[in-house]
Amino acid sequence: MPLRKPEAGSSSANAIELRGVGKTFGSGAAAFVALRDVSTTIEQNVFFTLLGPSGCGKTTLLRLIAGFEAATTGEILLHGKEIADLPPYRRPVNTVFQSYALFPHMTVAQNVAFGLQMLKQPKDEIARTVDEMLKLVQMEALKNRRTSELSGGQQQRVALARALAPKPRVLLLDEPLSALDLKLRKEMQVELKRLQTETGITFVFVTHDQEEALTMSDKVAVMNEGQILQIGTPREIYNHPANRFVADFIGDINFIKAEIVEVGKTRCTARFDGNQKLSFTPDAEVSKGQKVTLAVRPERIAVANGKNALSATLDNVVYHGTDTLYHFSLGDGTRMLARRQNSDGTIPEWQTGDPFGWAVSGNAVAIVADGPEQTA
Amino acid sequence: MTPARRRTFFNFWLIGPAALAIIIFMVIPLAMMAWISIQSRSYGGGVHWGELSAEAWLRFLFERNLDDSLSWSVTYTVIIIRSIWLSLITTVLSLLVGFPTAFFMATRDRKWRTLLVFMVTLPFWTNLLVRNYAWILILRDYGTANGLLMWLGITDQPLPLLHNQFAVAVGLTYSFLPFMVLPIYSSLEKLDLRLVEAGFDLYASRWQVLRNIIIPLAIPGIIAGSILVFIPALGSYVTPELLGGGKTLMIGNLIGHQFGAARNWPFGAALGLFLLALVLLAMTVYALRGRERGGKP
Amino acid sequence: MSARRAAGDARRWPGLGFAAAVFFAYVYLPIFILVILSFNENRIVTIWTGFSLEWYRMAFANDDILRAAGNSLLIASVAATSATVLATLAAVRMATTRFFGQTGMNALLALPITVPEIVPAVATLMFFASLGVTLGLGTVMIAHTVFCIPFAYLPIRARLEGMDPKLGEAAADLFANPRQAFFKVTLPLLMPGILSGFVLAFIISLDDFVTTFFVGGAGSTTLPIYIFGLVRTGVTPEVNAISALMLLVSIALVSLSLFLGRSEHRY
Repeated sequence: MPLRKPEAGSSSANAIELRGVGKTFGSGAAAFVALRDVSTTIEQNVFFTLLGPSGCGKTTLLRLIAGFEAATTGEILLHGKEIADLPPYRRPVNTVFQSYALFPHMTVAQNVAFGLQMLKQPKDEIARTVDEMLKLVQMEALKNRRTSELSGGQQQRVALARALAPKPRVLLLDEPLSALDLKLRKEMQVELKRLQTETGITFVFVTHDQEEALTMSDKVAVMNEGQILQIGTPREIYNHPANRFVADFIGDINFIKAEIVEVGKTRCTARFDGNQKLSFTPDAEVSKGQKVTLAVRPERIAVANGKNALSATLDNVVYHGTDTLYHFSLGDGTRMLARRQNSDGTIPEWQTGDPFGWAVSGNAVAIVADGPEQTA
Repeated sequence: MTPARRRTFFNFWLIGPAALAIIIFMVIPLAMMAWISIQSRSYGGGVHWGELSAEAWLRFLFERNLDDSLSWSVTYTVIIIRSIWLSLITTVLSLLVGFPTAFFMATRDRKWRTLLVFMVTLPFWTNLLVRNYAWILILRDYGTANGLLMWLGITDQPLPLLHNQFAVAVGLTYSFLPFMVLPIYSSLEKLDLRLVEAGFDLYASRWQVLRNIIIPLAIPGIIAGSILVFIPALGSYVTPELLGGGKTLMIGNLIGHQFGAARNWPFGAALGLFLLALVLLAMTVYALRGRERGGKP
Repeated sequence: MSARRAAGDARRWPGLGFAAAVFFAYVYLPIFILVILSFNENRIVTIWTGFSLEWYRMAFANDDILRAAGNSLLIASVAATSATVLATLAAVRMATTRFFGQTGMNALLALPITVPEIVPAVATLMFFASLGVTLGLGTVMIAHTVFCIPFAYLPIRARLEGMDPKLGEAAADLFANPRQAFFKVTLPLLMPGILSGFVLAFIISLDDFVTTFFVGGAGSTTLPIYIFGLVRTGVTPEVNAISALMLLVSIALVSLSLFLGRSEHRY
């Protein structure tokens, strides 16, 4: 997988190491377990994303690393050193808050300088760093403005500059783009990625937006109910989801209940929907007679004719501009979705109830474990 | 010290002083007042500590004759009932004047509202004594009101407007009116005018909309406002003292007099407790009727 | 529908404007009458004969009035300052974390404005007298401090509640220890609320009559006490002048407080 390699061989290559981290709020009957036994490592100089629905524990994990909350169990190591006893103001990490939390009684430059002043850096050095940071986020023109006079996107940039100014080893970002409108969000996604590459700082980014996670990250950890369900590159997560939850949470996907009827050297065959057969390359160990759930992305399903095509019944065709969605059902009632690009400009005429032939290539099928299901 | 314990300690020093000041100089004196109400009276003022006596409480309903027997007396009952009566009148008057005003304010533009709220609040921050004194200027025999009435030829003799229940009711309403307007305003301000339009759309007349939509939604504010007017009116001292004259005493004046000429601490203390109990009762009713907060500015 | 056409404007109600006009006349006319009469040259007070500043001149030449004004200002300064310090500390504490007994603490802080003033006034009188404390400036200052606490507390608390709790975290995240975070972030942001609370407490103390009347003694005569004494013996033009001045001072101060509370970054 095309994952950027951390500095080879160095023993402290891990920016953050979590060992059995758990967090429980409250106690007794009112206790709420926000995180259970989370262990993972985040390599240096990586754009690492915690992705999950609200309440999955991703923000709690970020706050534990920042030091705003103390972990109930486990250890958090920053560059190999345990930091549990350090208050937030002694941790070499900085945070970009969801609401930005800019100091309203200070100017843009004063905000950016705040951390440096607390670190007692010399005045001229602070001035230099502030200029450098504001330049980095293209805000040098608004240096002396009050933060209340800035737009959301500008505030976002100041918050970034402020958190980057002390040159933290790890930058924590708590859903920083959620308050921006779509267009600005897209811009900032590119911007954030550029900043991470330029500064070489490890970014730990929290979001519930799967598209954001896929476009920006080197690595994504998908979380639900206080646990990390899968860690991988965006491609791995998207194409080979470890379980049903991950598959379902990221993008649209079709699930097909099947039974393995034949296992070959590299390929196997599964039987589904009565007696339809599908041959594919399994991404996990399978054995004959095993019941499995197959996952197929809608864009990997081709509309097909001929005798090798799989059969189904068409329910509905929805035109979406760049592509067309085909909703269809298998004989056993399983509802399916196929997405085709409208590349040739013509859309065939379909009618509800028409027979629908489809096909899927062998490497487009993933076997997923039956994890906790999540309704979107 | 662990961080957690250090935090608790730090916090105690923050809240401690304010709480301590109120406890020492208000809660303890109030508790002491309860104890004094069952002590026997010292005629020079003060009490004979430790000599328990129910005399002060008996005084509410009885008076002691020369031969030391008790006989039924309505002197103080009349004052208590008058206080409650005048406070109720004040509350109703405030509601009648305050509700339309609050509704008027709530239907203005945002810019106007801020100004109007300021104008309603302003008198509250000015001297109560002076504001009541202004009414003496207006209501006295050759005051502004009588001058106007005589100039209009409505009367050729000055009307006795001052030193009666009328003057007290006018003065109390004047003193506490902002407390009625602001809570009603804050519940009406939240009222979505589209509800009123929906009412009209569904064939309701203005009167029906007012009765079935606006007033029910203003109820929390009306209750809060009524309590906020009733309580200080019941315990008022300045207004009846200035505008009421000797014949329209209220509980507050009766209490005050026990520490002046009458020199009867236990009775004053008992009356104070009684007033406190009435206030508590009113507040309990309020708390039970919902938790909408009325607004002091 | 006919209702829509004829009377569909939800903002216009017949008589509402008139009622509001009556209300504001009721509230402000007495004040205007008082102020106008204070400039009346006639000694009979209520009959206007001409403009004069004579009564103001007399008031300012009256040593008793000046002494009473001095007492009022001294008491208000001491009481408002102490109340504001106590209230600021309490507000910061109440807003930082939840703790056991918080509701009770809120009720305690509001106690001085919940009970009719006459009750704590006489209770404090008995308290000091029983302890053998001589009533005077000191006892008045203490009693004023106590009832000023809620007035100072409310605007500060409101300010704190409107403050983004993440700001404290942001300060800590940027290497400010709790003390630095308080002095560099929390306190500057609270300042308008603190000033506004101080001014309100100052006005309340300045205007107080009942507590001063019962808890005070020789040497603690304030302006309201002085005015009360004169009013009981009869209406004089001097009282009008000094009353009008007190109204103006209150109005100026409360406007200042509101201005302070509103000004600068609101969020």
